[in-house]
Amino acid sequence: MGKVIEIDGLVKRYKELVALDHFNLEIEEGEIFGLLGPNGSGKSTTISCILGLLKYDKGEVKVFGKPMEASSYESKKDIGVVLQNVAVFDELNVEENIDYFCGLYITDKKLRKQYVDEAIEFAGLEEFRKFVPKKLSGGLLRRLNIACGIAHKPKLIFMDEPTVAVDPQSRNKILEGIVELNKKGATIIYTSHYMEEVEQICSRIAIMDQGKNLAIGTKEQLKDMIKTGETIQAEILNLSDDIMEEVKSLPHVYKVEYIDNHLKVHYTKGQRNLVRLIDFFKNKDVQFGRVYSELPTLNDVFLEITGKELRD
Amino acid sequence: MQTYKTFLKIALKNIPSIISYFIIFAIIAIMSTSQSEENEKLIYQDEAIKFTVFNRDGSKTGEAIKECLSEKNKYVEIEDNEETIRVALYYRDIYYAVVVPEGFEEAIKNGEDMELMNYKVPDSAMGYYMDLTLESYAKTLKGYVAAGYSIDEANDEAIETLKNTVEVNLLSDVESDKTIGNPMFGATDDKPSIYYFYQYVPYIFLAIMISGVGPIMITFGKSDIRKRVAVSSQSFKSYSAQMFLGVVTCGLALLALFNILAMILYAENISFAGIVSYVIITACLLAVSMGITYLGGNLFNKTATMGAFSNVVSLGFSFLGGIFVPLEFFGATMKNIARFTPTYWYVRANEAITGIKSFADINMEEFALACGVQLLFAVAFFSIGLAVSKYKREAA
Repeated sequence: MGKVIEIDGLVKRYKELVALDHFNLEIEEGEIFGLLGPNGSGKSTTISCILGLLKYDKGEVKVFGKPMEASSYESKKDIGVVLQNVAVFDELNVEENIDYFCGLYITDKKLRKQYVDEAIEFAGLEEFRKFVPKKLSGGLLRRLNIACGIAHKPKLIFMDEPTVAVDPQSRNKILEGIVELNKKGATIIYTSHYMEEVEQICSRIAIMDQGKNLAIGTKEQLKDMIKTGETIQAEILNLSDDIMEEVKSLPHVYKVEYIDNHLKVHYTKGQRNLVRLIDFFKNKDVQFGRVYSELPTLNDVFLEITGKELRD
Repeated sequence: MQTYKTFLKIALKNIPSIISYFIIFAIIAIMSTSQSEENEKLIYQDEAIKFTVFNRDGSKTGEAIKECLSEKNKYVEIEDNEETIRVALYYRDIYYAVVVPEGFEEAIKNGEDMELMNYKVPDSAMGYYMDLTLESYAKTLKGYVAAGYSIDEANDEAIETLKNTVEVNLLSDVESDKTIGNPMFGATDDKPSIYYFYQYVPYIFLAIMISGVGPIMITFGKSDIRKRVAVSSQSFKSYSAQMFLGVVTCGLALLALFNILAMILYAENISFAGIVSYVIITACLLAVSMGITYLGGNLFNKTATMGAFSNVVSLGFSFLGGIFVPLEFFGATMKNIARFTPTYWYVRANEAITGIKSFADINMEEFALACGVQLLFAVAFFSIGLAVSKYKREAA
């Protein structure tokens, strides 16, 4: 598998503001790559630089092994973009919209007709072919937006928050579609505010903030990078300070919180933590209600690496 | 040619609004043209006042008075009876009744003063007018008699004298060599109807192009669509060329439509040279309209803003450039300002080709100057539009 995108030491400044600070990234062919970062972290700037929409101050961007510029039309033939905002013509119906955007890449009329039909089928818009965008629901509009971006069967697809403001049914349909596109050979760069989506479909993830790539890897690798290995929560009435202190001294425990009769114990790594904690409660004659264990999520990873919530 | 085809596809979907503009123009043009034709035929005419004469004198002078008044007024025969006269005046069957009293002619011959009697609608302008006419007649008659004319000769001369009238025009040309008449504002001149048809074309060209084609450019210029096109494999040059071609195609359709309409409406009054000249001046105007549309399409992001822009530009240029208000009504300062509008130069071009029968009739220097300045305006608008487009594309 070759590298589809290579970014080396990319620097982009907006006057005094450094949007990208020696940013590096490599994306392999066939990946669904998640790009995570809070607002203003540099995600959009990165994508704009990759697509040749923005000039950068320093560094190198290669797509399909070739330097990427605004005039790299050959490379652009194999790129599809699904923008965060729905970018379609209000005056054209579903079929005409897809046909227009597909036609920017595919000049052969017969082939284009086939591609448009396939995109309509892919997006589940068969019944809405002649509908103008105003007649479509939010979810259907998003699907049209995606169909317009992928109809020409690109090898590399950028998806910028494609599921924003979409109902769960449409969201599932979209996510299934993305996986299907990937199975057919497309490499996908995916940005989203929804951690669970990224966790669900992305094979590798990069976390960026303040124009820097803070961490990159599979979700398992990312979770391994953080201190939290497991969090156990227990419902306990009137927990004494002495017991709290003793919990802190248990193996692998690095942080203990007790809020609203809920004890929250953060473990680094280690195994059998839950069994050991329950045994401890029994030995100390601590009455407890529901006890449950949580493995770290991408949100924990994000929180620990960037020090802020993704939606901040 | 995907962008070009889609441009036209969207333009076709906007046809109903364009047609509505066209219909409004056609109605205005045809109405003002017919108005103009009527104005051309219109001459000042005295109003005929219904009157009667009771020649109680039974003299030739009584008959002469009747003849004199009948020159411009309408004689009505009614019975010489006080009651009948009052009823006729009340129902406006007559407005004036002259009574030539017995012995009137003899009194004139003898140089004595004897007044004519009358019945009239009280305080009416018509009664006043008839009083003046009769007074003039009596004075003239007395003058001729005093000069030694016989009563018959004096009556004939008096009638002839009062026949002479001063020719009255409704509105004289202020600057006959530079008058730009406009039937909407009551100006009349010897310009053919087709002049007025083409006089209004700038307003409608600007309105249709900006409000009809402008929104299509706004649609294509939406930030996200622009971005999507920018990341596609279609080059900026190709995209811009196709957009330009789309605007030109719409413009040419408009040009053809109006010139064909003119040829249908004024087929009998237009020469081949006229057709060619009108096509040239409207083509120059079209270039200006396209330039402004291209600029507006790149400047604005909302269709509503484009609508406002259309009104400001089309009405503004039409009023400032002498389309709606003839230039002779402008002061010197306003005229100087008007020179900075393309419509002013269009009006001058239209003037230069008014009523031509052959190419030799064209004031070529004036025509070329007026067309050339319009083209310069077009280039200026396009250049600014192109700069804005490039800036927006880079900023996308």
